[in-house]
Amino acid sequence: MKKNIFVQGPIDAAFIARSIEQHSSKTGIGAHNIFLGQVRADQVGDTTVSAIEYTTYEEMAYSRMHAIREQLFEKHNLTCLHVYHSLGKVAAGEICLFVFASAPHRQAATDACGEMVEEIKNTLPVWGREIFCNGESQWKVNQPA
Amino acid sequence: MAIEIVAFGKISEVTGTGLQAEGPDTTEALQQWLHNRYPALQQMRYCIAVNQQIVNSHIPLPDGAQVALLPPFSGG
Repeated sequence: MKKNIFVQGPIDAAFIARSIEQHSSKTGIGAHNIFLGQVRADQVGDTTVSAIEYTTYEEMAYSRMHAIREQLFEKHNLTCLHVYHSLGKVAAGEICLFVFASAPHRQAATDACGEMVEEIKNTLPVWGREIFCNGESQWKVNQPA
Repeated sequence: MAIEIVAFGKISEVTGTGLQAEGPDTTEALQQWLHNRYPALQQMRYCIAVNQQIVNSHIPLPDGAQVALLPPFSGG
C-alpha cells in the first residue's frame, strides 16, 4: 500500500523520459507538470558543495507520503501523482527530486505539483548532508521556497 | 518498559542512530533522560515522533514504542 518513493543515487534523465512515455496510454490526461530538484554547487566560505548525501526515516516517509497524496488527490482533480527522491550521494548538477503530476487540465497539475514540492521540503523526514570539495561536510538547511 | 530510540541527521551525531531506554514512560520523561545523557541535545532543534507520528505535546509512551528524534527536514 505504501509506495516506495526512493531511488538510490541520482535520478537519470532516461528514467524521467520513460516515466513520461508511460503516460501516453492514459488519454484522459491533458496536462503534466514536472518539478526537478537539482543539487546546487553552493559556495560556503572557501569551499563549494560537491554533492549531497540523503538519508531518511523510511517507514515514516512512506506513511507521510501516503497522507500527502491522499490530501492532494482530495483537493485537486488529478489523474496521477508520482514522487521520486534520491537517497545516498547525488553530485552537484544531478537530479535528486522528481515530482510528476498529471491531470485532465493544467491548473490541477500545476497546483498539485507545487504543493507536493512544498510538502516534501517541509514535512517529509529526509535529511541532506552537504559534502564539500575540501572533504568536509555539514547538514543542509532548507531555504524558504 | 523498553523504548526503542532512533535518531537521524545532526541528532544522530550526538546520540548514535539507535539506542534503548528502560524506564521513561512519557515523552517528557524520555526527553529528560536524553538531555541528562546527552546535554548537547538541549541546544539542538528537533521534534519527536512516537510510532512514526510527530507529537506536539507530551504523551504517555506505549511499551515497545519506537521514538524518533527528528532534526529539521532538509530533503529535496
